[in-house]
Amino acid sequence: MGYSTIYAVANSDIVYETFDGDAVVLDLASGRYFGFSDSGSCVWEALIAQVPPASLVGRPCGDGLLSAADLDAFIARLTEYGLLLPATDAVSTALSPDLAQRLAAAREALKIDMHDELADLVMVDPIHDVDEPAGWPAVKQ
Amino acid sequence: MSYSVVIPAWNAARTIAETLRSVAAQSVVPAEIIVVDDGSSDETEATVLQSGIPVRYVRQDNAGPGSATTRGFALATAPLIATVDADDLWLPQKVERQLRRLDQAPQLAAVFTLWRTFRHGQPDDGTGTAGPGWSRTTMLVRREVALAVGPVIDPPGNRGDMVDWLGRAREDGHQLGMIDEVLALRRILPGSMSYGRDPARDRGYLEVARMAMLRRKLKNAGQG
Repeated sequence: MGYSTIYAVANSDIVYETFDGDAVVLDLASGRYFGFSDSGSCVWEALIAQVPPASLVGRPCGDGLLSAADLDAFIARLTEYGLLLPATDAVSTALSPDLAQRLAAAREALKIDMHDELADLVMVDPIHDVDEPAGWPAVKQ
Repeated sequence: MSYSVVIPAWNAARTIAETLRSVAAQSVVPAEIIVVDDGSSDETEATVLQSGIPVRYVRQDNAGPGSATTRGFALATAPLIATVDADDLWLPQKVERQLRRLDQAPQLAAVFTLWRTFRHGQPDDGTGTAGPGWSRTTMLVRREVALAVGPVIDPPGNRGDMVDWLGRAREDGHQLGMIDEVLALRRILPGSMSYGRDPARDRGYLEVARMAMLRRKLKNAGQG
């Protein structure tokens, strides 16, 4: 892994949100969804904000420092799952103080968990149109 | 065994009469048809009442398709409940086939069918995409199961309510069956804003995923 590489969300099928500090990622193309440890949520948020991995290595993370090996393995999982891709022509950003603070306060090792038990349901779920003129349920494809 | 039909509807005046006709045309007729109007501002009510089909029409303040479905579950009186979205259609043998499957497989809590897409304003020509209809439109569920699984929760953007509910049903150990035959039609309205990705509405799916993870965490903590 090149630590100066900047990453971006792989494509528009990858949607994500952070709920009370817990990042949740869903691949709408496969129906698989992903959860993270507390440190994993922080690093995910940093990477998609275009923070270069190089600026994360050595950062306080829980009781220790974020290691290059752990970060390398974590990013490898993210790319294997098709969630992240190296970004070309991206401009790097600095880690926000808030994210740095959350990373330092993390208590769990870097981790991502993949879940696919809802995949068949997500893949066929009708997309309800909530626009009043259209009414719901209206369009599904 | 008799069945109730629950149709949640919101601003469905353009489509609900056709949906009702497909329900009334079932080879095994329902014991009752319940339309839960989720605060429509169009002519849904008039369309339903003028359809000539006996319907129990109930109106509530707008709360989402999940809420309207839950209301319908509570009102249904037959031992089985069939649900259908207010724009989709059933083929005439749908419920008959499902009743037979439930009779043959009493371990099943609910049975679904394949469905096929068709374009609004065009007759179904049989060429639409077909696939497993894990959805409200094809579901025939035992009433006690519907009540045991609990409310159909409306995630933000009204996307993913049945993903969550069916996921919870499975987690509770209920077996869901699928009939390998197209017995329902899923309407496509070309040009609608709801086609494609919409980050604000896709948040509903993320909320569903999050709730599933929280339930798993609680379950694991309980076992620990």
